[in-house]
Amino acid sequence: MILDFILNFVLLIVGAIFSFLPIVSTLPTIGGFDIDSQMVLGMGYLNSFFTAFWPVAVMFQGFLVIMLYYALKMLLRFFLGHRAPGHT
Amino acid sequence: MKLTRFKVNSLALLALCVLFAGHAYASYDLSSFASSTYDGNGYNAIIYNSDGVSNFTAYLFVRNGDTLTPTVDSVCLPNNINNVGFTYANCSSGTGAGQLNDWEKVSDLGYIGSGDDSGNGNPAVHYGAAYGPATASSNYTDHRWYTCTDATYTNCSAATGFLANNANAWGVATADLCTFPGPFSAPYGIADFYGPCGTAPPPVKCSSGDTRICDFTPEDGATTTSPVTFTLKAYISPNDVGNGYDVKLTLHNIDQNVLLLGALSPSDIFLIGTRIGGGQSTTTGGVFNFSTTTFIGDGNYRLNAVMEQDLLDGFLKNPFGPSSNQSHQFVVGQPTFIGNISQNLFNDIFGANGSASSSATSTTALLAGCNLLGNFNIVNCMSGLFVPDAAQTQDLIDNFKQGVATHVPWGYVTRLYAIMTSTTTTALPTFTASVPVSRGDQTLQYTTLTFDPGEMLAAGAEDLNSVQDPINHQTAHDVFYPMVAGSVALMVILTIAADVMGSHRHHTE
Repeated sequence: MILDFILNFVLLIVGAIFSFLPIVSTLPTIGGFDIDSQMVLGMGYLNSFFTAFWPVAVMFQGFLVIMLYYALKMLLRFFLGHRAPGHT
Repeated sequence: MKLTRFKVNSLALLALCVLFAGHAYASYDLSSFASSTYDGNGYNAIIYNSDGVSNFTAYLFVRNGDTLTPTVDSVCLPNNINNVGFTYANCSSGTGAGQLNDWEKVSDLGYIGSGDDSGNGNPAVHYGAAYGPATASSNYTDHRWYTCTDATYTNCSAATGFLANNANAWGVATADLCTFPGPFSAPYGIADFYGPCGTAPPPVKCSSGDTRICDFTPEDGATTTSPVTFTLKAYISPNDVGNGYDVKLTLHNIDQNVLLLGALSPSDIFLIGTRIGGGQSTTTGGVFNFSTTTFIGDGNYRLNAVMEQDLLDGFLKNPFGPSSNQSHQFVVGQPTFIGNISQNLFNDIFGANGSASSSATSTTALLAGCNLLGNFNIVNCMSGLFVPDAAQTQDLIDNFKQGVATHVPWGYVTRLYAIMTSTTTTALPTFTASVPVSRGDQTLQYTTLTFDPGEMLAAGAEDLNSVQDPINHQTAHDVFYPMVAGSVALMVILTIAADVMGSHRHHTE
């Protein structure tokens, strides 16, 4: 209850700040290149490949987990700013 | 420096674990009990003390034998059950008299049923709900009642109780049944009422007990559309006839009632505000119903119902008189981020004392362990105070997604993640090629060849996945999947561990 209250309160403040920024529904188009539709198409092809060859799908899932880990690290560094270790 | 880097990497690892652990909980909603259809396995039974003193109300259940033929949406009690002080339904006597309506509420139960009925083609153990002041002649020692955690009745759990010769023990919960909070009868010695873990007790019946607000709608946690019908049901005990009681139903729009926009928020809407019975004092007891319908815009709302006893013709409120003050939170149309958070905060503050929404029930149940005069349990108490339950955690995640993760700049990461984890497949494009074919007369002709990678992949996969070993008849997938998955998982763990420890870097400091 107490932790939930604190988290909700923090989320309320953070959400209020970001509520002024636009909502992202698709990735942007740069120079006429629609990144979103191309990535959706590419992942569709990959998924077709994965349905046939499951070992590749397992490796891809492992790759995603590692990428998620690095993304979380970047997020922490974003909030820590110049105090983040390894920041030069 | 090394230590700080270790901390940051560990935090990232911890956050990763939390993300993956977020769905490890399960919770159940008693709304699944609102209707029942016979599936061949039986119905649910819930019995509970409806006023905390002497009245018991049951939602009936029977897990019957083949000789019983309950119709859909009916609940029957087993045939040939010895019964004490209770007029029970007997399906074999025919439709109507022998049936109880779907989840019919039976008041003031004496006894429902149990006993060995195997001689009549029924199971040896009857699955009913039972309680009451059984007479001295009754001697039942194997009472069982079942509750199920899903609407399809596939996950049921049993609690075995004993009620012999007017004995007063009740129930031993299995691991899948949890104690529902609330006062239970000292006269009858009911220590606990058990039900599916994570759910709330059924509502208390209105027509008995103390003077109070029985219920009001929209229900807590409901999502509805405009126009909205608001109802309130209050009960005046015969002991309180002659006193004056006010009921008030107030609607708050909680989208604007927070942060800087509070000053611009619309005034609260008084939906119902009246003296029960119309006069200075009530002349009769019983149930009083109020209702109104109004159009309201989309958003998050909080509905507050208050009943107070008047003194001096309403000039004063009796602080010691019977009163009710409850709140429901609901959504009309589309919720808002701020509205959702506001509702969560309200639940956190008021959920502990039971005056707020039932969505905090799990936490409330745990907090019952903080009562030094009750069933004090330090572990439950601390868990209730500090650990968000499954519903709260899910709310947090949903609100984070809605309010933060979809906005710039995080929205790009969220969208990228959604694309990468999508399971939608797209047919691979086919290729065509014109191949010159030389004939004997030296003229060239072109033949068009079509390559379909999808067919090629399917054929390759067929070879890969259909070959079986001759002894165990396992496919390549069966044999190698655990090895591949295990190897990949190990590599992922080692990669992250190496990064956390910084073991692959050369440190110069």
